[in-house]
Amino acid sequence: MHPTDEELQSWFDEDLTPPARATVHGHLDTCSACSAKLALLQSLRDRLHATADMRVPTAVWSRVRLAMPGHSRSDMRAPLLVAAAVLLFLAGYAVGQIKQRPIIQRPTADVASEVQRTGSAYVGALATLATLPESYPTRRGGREAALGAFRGAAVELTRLAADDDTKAALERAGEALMSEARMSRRTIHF
Amino acid sequence: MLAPIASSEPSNTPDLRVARAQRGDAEAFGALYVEYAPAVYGLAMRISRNGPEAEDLVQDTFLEVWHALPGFRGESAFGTWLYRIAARVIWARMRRVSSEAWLDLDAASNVPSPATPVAERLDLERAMERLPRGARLVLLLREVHGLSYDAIAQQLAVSIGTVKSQLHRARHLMLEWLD
Repeated sequence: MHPTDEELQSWFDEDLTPPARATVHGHLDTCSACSAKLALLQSLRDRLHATADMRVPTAVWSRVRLAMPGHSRSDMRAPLLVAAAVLLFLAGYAVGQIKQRPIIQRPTADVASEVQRTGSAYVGALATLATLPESYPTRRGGREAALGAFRGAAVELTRLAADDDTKAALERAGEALMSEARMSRRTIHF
Repeated sequence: MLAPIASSEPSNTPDLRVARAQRGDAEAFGALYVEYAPAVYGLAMRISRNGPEAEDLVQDTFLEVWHALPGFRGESAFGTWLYRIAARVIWARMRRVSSEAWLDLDAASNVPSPATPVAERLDLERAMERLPRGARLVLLLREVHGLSYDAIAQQLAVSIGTVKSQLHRARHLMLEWLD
């Protein structure tokens, strides 16, 4: 007597009691029809399995990474990277302006506005960069590199002798960018 | 006689990535993501049939995995544990957005008569699409991800009897449609 379809499937899923399993097993040794049904079940499993994986859009990992709270590595590194980037930007901007000497003639508000706008884009780019795991330096190397850049930028900025108003405006812009960076960190969990 | 279901195989080799991820190492977690996300995404796509929704489900699954990792004791293979979470996340979402879940086991319309050939040969994906989402999920969790009846029942909050009956009927229909 043939096992029912349900019994065959239960055998396939190893869900029969040992005696029932032995009975079905014995039957399968001699019944080509039931063996063929079993082969179909295996074929279906194989087909489902073979096509199971799908390529995940790369943005998904970035979203996962952004939403992972309490990540100590980036908590320590990202603010340093942002700080270094902001200071480097300010230093580079100040060097360019002083060499060309147009800064005294330009309204301070314009300079600060330009710093703010470009710096915000810089912070945004860094935030995006921070979501890419393959771009992360090692913890030790990344921290040291960021600290080095921070110190270098700070020294360079101090050495420059811009007029007081412009320097104050740059400092205010820097403060605003740092604040923005801190806000970004809270929001996106660098 | 039968090929094993790879993902159901318990691993005797400690996965160092899991141990590192449990300690908060995001790079190790990223490596686990690379290995397991394609299967989770495939499952989510086959259930939701919607790319952005499947992406959300992958994100939710891995965030839940990240949060639950400290509690993972290795009593099952990591993949099996992860797929259980994926099943729960996907099922929770699907229950909210769709009332169509199970095969009606008594409805003759579910089962084409052997004397009535299916009008067209359906490929695998199209055949699966004809299954209600719950039955589809049970089928995939068992056949692809190797979860036991009991594990599926737990994650979907249904009885083992429901899992078995839906699985058996789903297989039967799939074989009919693919014949």
